[in-house]
Amino acid sequence: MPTAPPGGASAAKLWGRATHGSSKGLGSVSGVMPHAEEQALVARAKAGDRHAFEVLVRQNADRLYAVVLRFSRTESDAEEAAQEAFVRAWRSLPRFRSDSRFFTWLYRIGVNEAKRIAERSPSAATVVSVEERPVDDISDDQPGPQPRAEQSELRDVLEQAVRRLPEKFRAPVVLRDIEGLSTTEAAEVLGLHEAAFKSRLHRGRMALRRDVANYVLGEDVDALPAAR
Amino acid sequence: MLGPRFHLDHMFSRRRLSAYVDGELDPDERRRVARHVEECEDCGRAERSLRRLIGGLRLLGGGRPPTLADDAIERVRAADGPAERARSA
Repeated sequence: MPTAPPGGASAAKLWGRATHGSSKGLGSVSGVMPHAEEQALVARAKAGDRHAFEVLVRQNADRLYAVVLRFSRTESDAEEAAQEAFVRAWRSLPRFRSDSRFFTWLYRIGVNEAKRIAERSPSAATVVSVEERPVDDISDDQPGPQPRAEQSELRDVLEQAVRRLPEKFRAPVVLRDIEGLSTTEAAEVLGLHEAAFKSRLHRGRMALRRDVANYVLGEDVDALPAAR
Repeated sequence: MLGPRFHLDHMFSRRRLSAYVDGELDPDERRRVARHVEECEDCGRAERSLRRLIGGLRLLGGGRPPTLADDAIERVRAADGPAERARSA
């Protein structure tokens, strides 16, 4: 039975207004460092060069946070997980095989850390609210009060849907669609061949489409094929 | 009456809708999918939904702790690194 969208706005209007002017990869993180350059930094860091490791931290911090946030209960848990992941990575660096991308290794440490923190506080809220995030950077055309509320509501619905994705689809969707990496970059940092990455991304998007169909896409979820 | 070409195009296009909206198909594939989404109501709807979904997901970017990297570096500086750990082993 399809659920009615909350609030008075029609789903299509809500979606159109809330995403208006958002087509430029908002909030995307910096591009992916060439592998050879990264390997050189890793080699120096392995030899004890903290400055080289600090460059790796700055290069990967925002991207790591974006992924671990979707495995964490709160934003402060995500911050803690990301910081702890860097400390663990620094200590464990000799075990890192430099033929892999640094982020591939780091994000696994970060996700494990996020899960460990989540297990430690099981009574906390399951999903982070994004209500309090500033929305000023979302659009070139600053929305009025009502569109801002709709944008916030839409983001919460989508954020929760992303967190419900199976793990193997979550990171591809976060990196490609939320963080704005190219397919090639996102596949590379996750250590996946592009074909495998594209398959996971597509399945993740179709699962999301099904999950939010009633509310934000104005579709009848019962009429949609199963996510494949 | 939908012919066999429609069904073949349908199977072909459904698997490639994401790559199509990302602009990552080669020209022949892109033409084939574009023709199909014009002909097929389900695939046309799916294509439009995907575009809107991806536009919405972009809203989730940003909102990072501004001092995350600095704070992480502080903690790394306070921790033993590979060289110290090798010496103490």
